Amino acid sequence: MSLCEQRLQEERKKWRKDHPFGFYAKPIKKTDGTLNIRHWEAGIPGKKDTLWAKNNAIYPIQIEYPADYPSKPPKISFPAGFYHPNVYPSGKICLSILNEGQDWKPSITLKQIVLGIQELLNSPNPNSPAQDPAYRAFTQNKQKYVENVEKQSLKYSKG
Amino acid sequence: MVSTGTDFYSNNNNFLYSSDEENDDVEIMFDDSSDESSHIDDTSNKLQSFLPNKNKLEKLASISSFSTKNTHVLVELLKKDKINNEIAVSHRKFKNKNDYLLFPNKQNFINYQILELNNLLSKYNNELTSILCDKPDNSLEEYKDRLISLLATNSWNIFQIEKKLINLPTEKENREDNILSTTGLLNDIIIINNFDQDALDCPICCETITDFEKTSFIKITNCDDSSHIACKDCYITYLKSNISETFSINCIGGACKTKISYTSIKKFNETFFNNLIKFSLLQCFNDLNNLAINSCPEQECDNVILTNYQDDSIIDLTTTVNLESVSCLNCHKFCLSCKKESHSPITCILLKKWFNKINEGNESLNWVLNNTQPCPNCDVDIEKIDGCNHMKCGFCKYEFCWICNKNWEGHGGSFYDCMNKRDMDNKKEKNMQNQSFTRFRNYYKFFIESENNMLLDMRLFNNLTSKKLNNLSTLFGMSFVELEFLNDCLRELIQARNMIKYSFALLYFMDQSHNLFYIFTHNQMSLFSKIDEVSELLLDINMDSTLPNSKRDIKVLQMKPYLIQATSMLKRLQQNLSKCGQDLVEKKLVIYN
Repeated sequence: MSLCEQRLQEERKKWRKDHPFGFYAKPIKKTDGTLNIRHWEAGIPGKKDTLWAKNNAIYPIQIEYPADYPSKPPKISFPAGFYHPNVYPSGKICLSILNEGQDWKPSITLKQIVLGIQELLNSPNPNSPAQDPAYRAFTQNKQKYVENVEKQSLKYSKG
Repeated sequence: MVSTGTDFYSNNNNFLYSSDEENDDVEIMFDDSSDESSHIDDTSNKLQSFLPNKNKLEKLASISSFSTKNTHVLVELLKKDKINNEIAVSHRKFKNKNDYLLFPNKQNFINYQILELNNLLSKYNNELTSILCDKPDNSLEEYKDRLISLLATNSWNIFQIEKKLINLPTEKENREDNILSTTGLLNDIIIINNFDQDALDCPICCETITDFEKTSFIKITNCDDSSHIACKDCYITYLKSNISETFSINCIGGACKTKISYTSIKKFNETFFNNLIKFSLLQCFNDLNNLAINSCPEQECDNVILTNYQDDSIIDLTTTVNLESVSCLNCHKFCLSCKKESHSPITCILLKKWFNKINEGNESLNWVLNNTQPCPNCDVDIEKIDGCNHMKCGFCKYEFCWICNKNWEGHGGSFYDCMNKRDMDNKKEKNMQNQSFTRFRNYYKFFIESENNMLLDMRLFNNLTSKKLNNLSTLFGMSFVELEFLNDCLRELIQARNMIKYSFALLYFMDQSHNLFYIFTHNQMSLFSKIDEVSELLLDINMDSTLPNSKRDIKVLQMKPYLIQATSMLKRLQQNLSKCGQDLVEKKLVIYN
């Protein structure tokens, strides 16, 4: 078993044993029914008592682990068109810990990553804007921003 | 014999281009506004005219810590040479071996020293030991390593270290440790192989390890978090993946910012340590803003040039018109400011534009121009493949905005404003480019032609091997030293050709309607005709052939006085052209397009 797979198996084991409340994360099933350990899907709830937690929304992300993980960071994306100042139109997330050569370290775990993304949801970094609409609304028209985020939370509501 | 600039400047004494044949040894040129003749032979006169500048000299000397010991040499030097009111542009060798002075403009000078790379570390060791302390054990390998890591993390700049020292308590004990510990760079790698538990998982590879003797864990001493550990293999992989990208590596733990010291990395692996040092040096060599340490751009030449340059306060590199070229111990001339081959009379900024222009026709370079942007700090071409407009140069770590090229700091709010502005600028630029294309093509032709000529002369120079010189010396019964004039002549010829080449590039950017343009072209032509004369002569005595031929070789001897004279003529004419080009740029007679 390669280092990448071994580490991912362990991540999976750890996750099943203990993970933050409201989150989910699991490898995707291939068409033949087996698990693709290098491709995960996960869900991130909005932080309690914040704008993002409205409608009990859980925001889905796709995680793709490269073959040289954990030397290289995984690629993580929201669905395309996700409304957030630090998410590209393609859905890719601009977060320093997910950036090789910036703050990525092989010791960063899945738990740290998803908690980091949850944190980013409610506290966007205006110094690294990644999309125009959300960035513009966030910096210039807070009311519109709040409205749009709420609209989005409705879309990802889990009842 | 041949007068150049003076004819044109007879009405204006301030622009006196020294053109006197007798002053072969004068490398420093002076402005003279009071005395028309400008050649005062009386030493006391020179000294007197020098005296009003004494204060200034002392002030200058105080800037440079190199020069405290060399001030007397400088004074001697100035007495000896023809001194008038102002020192203009040039550089001068000190009596002291390999110590030089460089005058980038009239107010300042840079003191510099040429070394071979091998001697660099030992020189640094000596200098640092003198400012730190005399340790009884300073010959120890570890002490040396600490000094090196101190340098590597301080841009190889002793002044920076001295500055840090001022802020530290005065005890002489372990001063290098003090500096290292303030930057968090004093730590050790420890290998843990006894734990309370029977088994432990490595957080990276998730291998469960029970035999701690066989597989050990690694931890950094000054990191408090006990979970920031990894098995030896994983730690090494981590270091390896970071080693060629940075010269300071953090502890392996998640968001931990604890830096790992060089000495502990050396304990791991000597190659890692050497690579870190190399990377740090390379970064300093390539950093255009770091004038303190430079390497000769010539391949296979390992000369290093150290200057007393400390920070931006001495010289503003963007406005310095022409940072005169420096030559290394192997006579490779290069420019200190852009760290490329010598390009007088054109300035670094214009040269870059010139090369951009040349590359417009080239497809792959077109791609580079269209898809990349130069880092505003270090000029490295950067392609943006994804990410936001907040760019961080992978080379010099400068952070800037991709759209407006300005420093990212304080940029936050006005992000989408800069996009519109740039589109407009682009359109303007394109119109200008179309107009100047024909003109560009003409000068480019000249440029390429002179380059080819230079390459031919270089071949000649390389053919003048020791074998050929040996033949000649046995034929004439002369020593190698006496035949040195042949080498000198060819070297000067190549340098002159190089200057002609770049002068064409400068001409392209110049305002043709101005009188100075014609003065410049005249100077250029006199240099050009001299070059032709000399190279014809060299062709005549057939330096190209390596076979002995007594008849032709006798000619070499006959030509000796003439060639020596021609060499100094070439030197003089080059100085004129360079000075004239500098005036042009200073007077803003350059069309920037």
